[in-house]
Amino acid sequence: MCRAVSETVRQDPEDRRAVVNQRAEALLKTHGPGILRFAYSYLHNMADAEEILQDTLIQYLKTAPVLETEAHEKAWLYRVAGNLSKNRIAYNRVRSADELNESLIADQREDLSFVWEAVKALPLRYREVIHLFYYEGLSTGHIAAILKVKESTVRSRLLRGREKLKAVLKEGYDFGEGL
Amino acid sequence: MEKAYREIMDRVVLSEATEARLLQTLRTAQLQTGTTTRFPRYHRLAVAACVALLLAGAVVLLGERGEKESPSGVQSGLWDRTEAASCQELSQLVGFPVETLGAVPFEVTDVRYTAYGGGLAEIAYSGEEQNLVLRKAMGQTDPSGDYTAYAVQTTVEVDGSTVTLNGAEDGYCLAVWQDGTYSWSIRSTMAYSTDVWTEILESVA
Repeated sequence: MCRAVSETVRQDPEDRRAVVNQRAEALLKTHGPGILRFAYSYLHNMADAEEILQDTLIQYLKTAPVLETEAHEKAWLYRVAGNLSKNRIAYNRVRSADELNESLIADQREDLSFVWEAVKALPLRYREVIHLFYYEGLSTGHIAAILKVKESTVRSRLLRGREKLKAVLKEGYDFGEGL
Repeated sequence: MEKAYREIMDRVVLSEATEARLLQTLRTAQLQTGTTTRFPRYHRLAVAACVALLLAGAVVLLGERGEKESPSGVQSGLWDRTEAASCQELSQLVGFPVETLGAVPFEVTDVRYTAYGGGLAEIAYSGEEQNLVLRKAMGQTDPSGDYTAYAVQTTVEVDGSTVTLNGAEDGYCLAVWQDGTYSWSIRSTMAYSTDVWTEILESVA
């Protein structure tokens, strides 16, 4: 049998919006810095990267995706950020200022500037796996889930990306061998 | 290389000023989530017809494009999904038993069984103008994917489980419950009274 066991609870529009706002703040705190860096790895400009972060979070709040775990949530956010970044490269003019390189030069870190320029020069398909593998520390399986490609494709892109970087950077940099 | 790349990317930071600005934008963004609008009853048939027309158009467009994604690549929360031919096959795909609904408050014209990656089972019962979607997943998280903050909530007990009903003044359209191992949700396109929900919930077997 079925019986009512609690008082009816009413929520006004302000309460409903407060729930969404709390979610937005939590997402920004938890994933904001990572999404910003991921977007920057594509676009090489802070203003563009910040807009991608904003659009990604709005997309999340609008679509309310069904995600069972935090890992799925992160993968969803990074996939959307990556797709929005690629769309921006394809259809919108990317701003030219690379604040990151400017800061490296200002701090006289030519060694890092050299690495950054080498990574920037990689084709996009290698750049994105390099970022997710080396910075985010994700497994090739997780990267495959984010980019929606086969894990073998991720491995292949990672290997080729490394080879291209090695060719430019020469010796002096440990690329690691594990996938 | 890894150390150098990390050192480079660590310089890309989300400043407090940027975070505050983004948060303000998100707080004022026009989102459909959490702002459900209820239509008068006499408008519902017209709305249902429009939705059906839009869905039909979307199906045609998706068929022509051969893809399921929006231009941004977003699949609206749909991860890897596999259609099953029966509830038994669906149970095999997700790895746990899945119940069906014995009582549906409309004439069912189509039933679809879908397994989502990560272990989410879904059975969608469709009628001419309405549908019910039963979802089941491991764990205690609401599997409905419906993040709407409904205006009215109440709870009922069915076979030892406390079920939360969510809706508005004219009835409820989402039921959610857990048993410690699994969580379930039933979402309806029409709002039903607690009595109708009672029949639906008691028929889950």
